[in-house]
Amino acid sequence: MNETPKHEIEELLNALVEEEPNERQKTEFKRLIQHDPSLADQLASLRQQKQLLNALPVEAAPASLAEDVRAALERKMILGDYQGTTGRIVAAGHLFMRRALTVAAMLLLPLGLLAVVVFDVLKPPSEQGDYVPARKTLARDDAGQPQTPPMAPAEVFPFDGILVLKTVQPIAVSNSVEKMIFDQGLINVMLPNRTAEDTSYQITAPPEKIVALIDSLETLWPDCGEVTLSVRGGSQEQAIDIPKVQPDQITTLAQENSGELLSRLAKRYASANLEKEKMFAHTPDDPAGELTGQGYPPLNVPILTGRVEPAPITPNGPAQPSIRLRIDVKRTVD
Amino acid sequence: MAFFNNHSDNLSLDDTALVRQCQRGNSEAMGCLIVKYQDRVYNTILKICQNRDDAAELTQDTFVKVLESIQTFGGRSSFYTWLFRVAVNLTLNYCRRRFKLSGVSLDAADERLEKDKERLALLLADPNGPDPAAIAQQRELAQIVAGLIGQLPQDYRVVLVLRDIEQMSYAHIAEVLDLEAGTVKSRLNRARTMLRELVETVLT
Repeated sequence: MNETPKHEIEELLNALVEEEPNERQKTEFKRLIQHDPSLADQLASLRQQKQLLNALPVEAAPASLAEDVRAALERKMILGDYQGTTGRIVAAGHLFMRRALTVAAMLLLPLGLLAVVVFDVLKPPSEQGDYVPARKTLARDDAGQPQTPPMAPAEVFPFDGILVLKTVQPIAVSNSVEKMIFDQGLINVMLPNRTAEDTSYQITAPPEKIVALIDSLETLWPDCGEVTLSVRGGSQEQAIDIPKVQPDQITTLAQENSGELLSRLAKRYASANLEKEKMFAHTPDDPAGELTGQGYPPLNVPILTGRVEPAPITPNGPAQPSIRLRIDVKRTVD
Repeated sequence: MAFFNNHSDNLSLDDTALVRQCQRGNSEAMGCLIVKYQDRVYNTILKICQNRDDAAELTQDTFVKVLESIQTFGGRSSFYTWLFRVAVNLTLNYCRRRFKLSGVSLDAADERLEKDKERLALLLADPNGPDPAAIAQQRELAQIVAGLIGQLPQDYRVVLVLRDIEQMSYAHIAEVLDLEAGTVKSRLNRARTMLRELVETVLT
């Protein structure tokens, strides 16, 4: 059998399998089968084969197929790889949101890190105690009024005071104060604040320097009609006003290293000065004022302080913590 | 997108209506088209490429490609034909690449497989044997048949699968494969004969 007949037989058998043979094909198959009976088996085999293929079980697609398709489409939308118009707005929204979030993250992350670094640099170290702004201390109060906020830590800076010198000669007294400050070498730590009527000198210096200054200012007392010290120390929240304060009282207070004792001592001075003013202002027993050099009896120093005289000044001794004193020279009407 | 909700109403729609809804952005209609055709596309691809994982991936790629370009579908052919053209082309391209890379043909040659082949050949050779549908329901034999299909040359395998398994008409096959109807018929004749010969070789 040559190729052409084989090809024709093949075509004929398949036509019969498809059940679409025409009359000529049917006649031809009958003729062929007489010469080659095996063709009938071939036809039967092909029909069985076709039925078998038709009957092959249909396998279900993966259950996640539709979900996977949806995810793949969304991924393409987000990546801007989706060419269709369907969902283009959604894709654009997705894309814009992602880009916006990316930009925000790129900006906020460095800013956050910078803020942490800046805060770390600027915050006061916790070992140094609570931070108290200097302007809130008594000595730095520009208005000259006692302030309620706490002063510097009592154990370190117990003395914090404002000395008010009221005089009819404010210019002369101010000049003298400035000269004394200069003579004591405190010009570098003094901050003058001049107004039309008043002059303030703010000094932060070791106690011995303040003591020496007060001692030198003693000569100004007769020129001042009223000398008052507002002082606060330790945990005492309210400032204590000491009227008619004397230089030795100030120096004693300035050298006190206990805030609590400083407060008690200041109260004693305040009450004692008020008492002696009442007692000796018009006493007939001492018209010449012989009881004290200035007409006042010696002050009964509180026994809590444990000292009678101010501690000697030791300029070359170990360094002491600084204290603050503001001297206000105010004009009074004669 | 809510692909999987409330398909029941849309499943009754014909392909043209579903495609129109898809073109308007109805994602539910897209889900309906997937559900409607996923098993047929998957089985066709599986019979051609002979690997379940590859078939799943290619089926997914087919639907993604179709749905993302559904705006360009003009209705010159049916959606069904278009869908299968995309599926077959993707699969054939994949099979060509895979064959180039691996160079292996699909041939399971262990002893058990050979026995199953022999059994299948005997069943098919007996005109008075059991019903072919009953044979097909035996899993091992069905796998043997599928494996034998995989041994056919690719061009013949595709035609056989589309005609005898998917039961596509000659006209549709010609459209899917972009061939003349006569070419489809001659390839199918040859494919059937080759498959019968493959079975017979098991007996000899």
